[in-house]
Amino acid sequence: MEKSGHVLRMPHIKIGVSDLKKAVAFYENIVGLEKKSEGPTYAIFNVGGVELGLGAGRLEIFLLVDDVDKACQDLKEKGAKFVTEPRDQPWGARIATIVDPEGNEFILESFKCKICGKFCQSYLELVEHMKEHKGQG
Amino acid sequence: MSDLKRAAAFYENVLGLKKIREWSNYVVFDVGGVQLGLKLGGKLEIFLLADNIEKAYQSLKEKGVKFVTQPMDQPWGARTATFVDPDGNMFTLEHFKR
Repeated sequence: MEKSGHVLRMPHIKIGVSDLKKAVAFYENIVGLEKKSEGPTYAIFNVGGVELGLGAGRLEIFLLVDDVDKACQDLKEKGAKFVTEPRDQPWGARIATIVDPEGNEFILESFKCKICGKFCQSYLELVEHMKEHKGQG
Repeated sequence: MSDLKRAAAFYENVLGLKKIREWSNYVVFDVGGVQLGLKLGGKLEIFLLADNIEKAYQSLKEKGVKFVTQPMDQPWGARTATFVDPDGNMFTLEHFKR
């Protein structure tokens, strides 16, 4: 069987927390991670190039793919099951959720700038990239 | 994982990940520099590389962090200690020094 090769890296792991402020204080002040972004419902830390996200819900592992739609189609043809179909997210990613034979879920994602089409490696890279467009506009 | 062979075949042949090492009860894949391990039995574990397990353990404990395992040597060559965050999420600190 030919390998798919769609998966490029693991840019993000989301941890489920119930009290965001308390969790942020823990990871920032006690564990000593570098905080990159904090909003009312989500915070992101850098762990040596991998983003650790804190938010509501359960743990989620994100895998960057070259093209979510192609990956979804290709992997389905190889027998992989998806629990969500490709769809755009408000934070700029296009995602689809794949499940392995044991029921472990992974979110396949890609970040493509809607203005110029640049392929970004992570959410934070997309955020930085969008600032450049803002500066030009 | 309950069926390691079937799981490993999925990650290698369907997802197309690069297999680095394979044992009878553990398989490691590379995902762009992050190691994804498949383990027979057990639950999901996230590993964080620490500079020094003893120092990290002591310093975090002094700051009130709860550890569920003390620093210990592992058969695969790492020294590890596992702590939990305020929500019960577990992280295993590890360090490789022989």
